Amino acid sequence: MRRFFTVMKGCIIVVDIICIILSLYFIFQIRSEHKEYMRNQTDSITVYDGQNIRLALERKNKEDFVKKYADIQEQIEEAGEVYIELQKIYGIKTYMEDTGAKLYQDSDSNVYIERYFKVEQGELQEKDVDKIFPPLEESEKYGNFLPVGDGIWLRYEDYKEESLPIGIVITDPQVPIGYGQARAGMVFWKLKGILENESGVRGTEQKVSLEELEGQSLCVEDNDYCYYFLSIESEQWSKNVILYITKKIEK
Amino acid sequence: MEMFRQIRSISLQKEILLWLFSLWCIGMCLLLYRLNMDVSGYQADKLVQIGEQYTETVRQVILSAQDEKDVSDGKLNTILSERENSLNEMQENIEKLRNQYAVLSLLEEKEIQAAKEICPDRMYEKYFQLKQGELARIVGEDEIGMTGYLNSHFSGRIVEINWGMFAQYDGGNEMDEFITPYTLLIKNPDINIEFGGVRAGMNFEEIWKCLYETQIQTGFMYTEDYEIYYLEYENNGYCFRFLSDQPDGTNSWIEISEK
Repeated sequence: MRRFFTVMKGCIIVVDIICIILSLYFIFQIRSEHKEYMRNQTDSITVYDGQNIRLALERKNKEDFVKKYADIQEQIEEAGEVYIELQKIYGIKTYMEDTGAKLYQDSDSNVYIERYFKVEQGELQEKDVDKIFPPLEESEKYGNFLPVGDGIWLRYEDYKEESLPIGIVITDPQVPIGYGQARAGMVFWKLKGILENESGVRGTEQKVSLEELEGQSLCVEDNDYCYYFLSIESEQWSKNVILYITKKIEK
Repeated sequence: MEMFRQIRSISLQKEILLWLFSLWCIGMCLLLYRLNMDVSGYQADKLVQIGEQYTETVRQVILSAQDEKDVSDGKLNTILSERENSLNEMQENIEKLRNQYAVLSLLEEKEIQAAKEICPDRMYEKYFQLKQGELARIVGEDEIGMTGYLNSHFSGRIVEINWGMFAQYDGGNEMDEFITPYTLLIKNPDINIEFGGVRAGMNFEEIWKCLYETQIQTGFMYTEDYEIYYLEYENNGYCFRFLSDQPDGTNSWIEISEK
């Protein structure tokens, strides 16, 4: 019995020693894993910081983009509002222009034509009319023509700012200027018929030569103006009449 | 006997202590073992969690994950330059429309000049042809204001047809498609529409010098408390009044009506 207890005691001591050794081992293990963990954490932070920097840069790029986009969008909206307001006042001006045209047409007043002969060259040029309305094709050889609307140009003798027009060229039949019902853009023979039947005038017909271009013209007059209806045989004008108006020279 | 009892008790204490110590060692060993296992697992999870937190933090301030994959810097620049092109186009259109408006204004000015020379009696005729319905369609009904009639408690609709120039309609607050102006009101001195050299903004003294002296009349607008002073002239087709809320006619405005 005594021997048994002694062996037991010995075993217990051995177990204690083993436990102590294992404990020391586990403590050592925990410490080294903790160190490993701290090292991994630092590495991860470094890695994630690296990613963070990349993502932060991307974020900054995208934030810059969003800001610039918002700025441009705001400017577009403001420009849209300005455009809408401009359209309104331009609409009123156009309506007044159409009303005036109809009025003077009905009353046979020359005010509507005479106003064009009061436009100084400089007044048109400062409004960049060349950029608003199309130029008169193939006209460079024949003088200085400035557009003053769609299908209507004013002809100037020189390039001085204070110069007044010497003629009006009209190609668009929508422009409500002509002699009676005769308008630019009509076919020549039809025009002759209108002038003879409706206005009771025959006009002066003659052949026209403009450098390499051939054609014919029909000229009628009233008290203040000469109206030349020109039919030029060219690919550009395809025989549709061009109306050219000049002021009669005061005697 | 006593000594034997003491010796036996010391041995017993040692035995107990030994057993306790053994239990403590075994317990500590098991505890440390358990701790070791937990820490390993905990640390692994923690590392993952840290990674996720960082990623999430940054993701929260970036556009959606889809955008991250799809949108590169190059594409952002393309989007920006498309918007800039749209803006430039709009600004060009605005400039073009401004110039078109300026050309029409110039022609209108020349028309007034020509009318003064050729048919001065008909200089204002165009403005009295402007139909209320058409103007309302152009500017929008919300833009149409109201202003009082001279010597009346009532007011009528007005539309600004030029800067500082208005067409006033009869009919009070009612909208009528075909109604034409009752009066023209000119408040801007820069408008080239005048009578006998008299423009809006002149006082009565200056008006008399341009035309001739006539009696200053007194009227009202809206209520009798709001006194209006005016000079009245006529020609063949129109009646001209130069009105002011000051007795000397300061900052007068012109009212033109058809006879």
